[in-house]
Amino acid sequence: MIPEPNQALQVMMGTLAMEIAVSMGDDYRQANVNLLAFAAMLIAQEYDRAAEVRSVENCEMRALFGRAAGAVHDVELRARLTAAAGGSDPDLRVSQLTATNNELRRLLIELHAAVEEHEAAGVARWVWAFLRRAAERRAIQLG
Amino acid sequence: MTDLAQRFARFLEANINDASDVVVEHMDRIHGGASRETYRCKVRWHEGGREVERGLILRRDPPSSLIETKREIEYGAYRAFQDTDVPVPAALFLETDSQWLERPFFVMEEVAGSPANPFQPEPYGQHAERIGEQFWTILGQIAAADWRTNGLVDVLEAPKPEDCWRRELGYWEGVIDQDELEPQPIARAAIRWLRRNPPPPAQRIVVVHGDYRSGNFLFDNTGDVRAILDWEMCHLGDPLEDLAWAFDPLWAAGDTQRPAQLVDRAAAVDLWKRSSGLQVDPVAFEWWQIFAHVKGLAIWISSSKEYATGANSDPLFLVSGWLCTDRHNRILVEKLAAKAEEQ
Repeated sequence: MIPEPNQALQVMMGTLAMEIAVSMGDDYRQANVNLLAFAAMLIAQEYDRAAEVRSVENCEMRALFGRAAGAVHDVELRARLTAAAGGSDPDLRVSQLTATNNELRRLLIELHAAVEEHEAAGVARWVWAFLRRAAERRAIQLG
Repeated sequence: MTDLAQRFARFLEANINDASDVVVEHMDRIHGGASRETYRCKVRWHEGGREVERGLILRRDPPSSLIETKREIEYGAYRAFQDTDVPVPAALFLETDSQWLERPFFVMEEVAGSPANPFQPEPYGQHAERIGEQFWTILGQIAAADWRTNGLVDVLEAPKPEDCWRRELGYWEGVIDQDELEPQPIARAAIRWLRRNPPPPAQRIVVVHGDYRSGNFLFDNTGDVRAILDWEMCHLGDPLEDLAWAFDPLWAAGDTQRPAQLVDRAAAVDLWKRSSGLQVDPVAFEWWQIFAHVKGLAIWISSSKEYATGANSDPLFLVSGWLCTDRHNRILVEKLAAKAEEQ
């Protein structure tokens, strides 16, 4: 598909900002068109990386659950962590990766709260290290 | 817009004493102030044989809002600070009857001046220091205001000093509970941290503006602050809440040394302490700064939901939802991961 969707969005961004917005007399609408142009840039960026961000996060969370399960006192939570650790992403559509990512993130929140409660500082540090990497990976690049 | 102008003219004719031939012109919507639709207009009318002309600002309830706020509180805050050292536009009318403009609204005078874009580097240029002195002094004056006598006690509930943090955290956690469309592990960890490490009671119950920051005031080209705006989240609470919100690096294009890109942190705190007569406990202030990031996240999560569900198609909701969630998540994760490493 040429141009790639992200390339097409970047061109649209230029058209919106440099041609359409500047020709509008109304400040409010002009600001809205500029925001839409900016949003097109963000969508282009997300299109390119969305699958990788989610699949890497899913792998990292599964690995984390596998390492952390032994430190969890709650038997039922430990079982769910172990089960999640054995999962995979056979379907690489972004919608499916996102759904799995959301499930794993919910489990991560439970794990984080549990290890804080039982002062398992080592596991909490692993969780923070993951969250830091994830936030960095998802950081929006401007300019 | 013509229809809105005509209907607004009919309202003004019915509500300005002895006014006739009211004409509303140049009715333009203004961007920002996302909790309400905001319009600027010029109004002319005849009164006692003479023609009067005035610039007005109309703030109308939206079909859907970035933050759910009570217009009576916002209007009451403008009234409370009228004719004080805190510059605000004159609040002229509060109308709750939807017969005029379909939704409730209030009207203020237009004040000459411009807001800054807090996401741009150095939005105040050569006036940064002069504006900074006023900005932090005025925030202290808001904290020093006597809410028992300025009318705010009629529209705001005063919490106990020891309950301020719990009430605010509970409210914004509730917003996240209600509006999140995806799990928020950083926000949830931050909320747990805030609950495990409560701040000391408020040293005094004061007026909290609720959204005092770069971008929410008007200044002129000589560096005078002309009006403090956007009081829709005004409440009574801990004075450090406002100071921490104004210090958030989100409003300083990432500059952590000069909050709001005005003066440095120490100077800002000194100016605020001098005009408020209050102290800054470092432990309490840190708590309120982390709370500020969580409150920001709650607002951006709501914003994302509004756009994603089609409740509001304003692209400001889309962009602020994406960009500011990303920024506040990264600010929080850096602070809290560093704390976890210290343990």
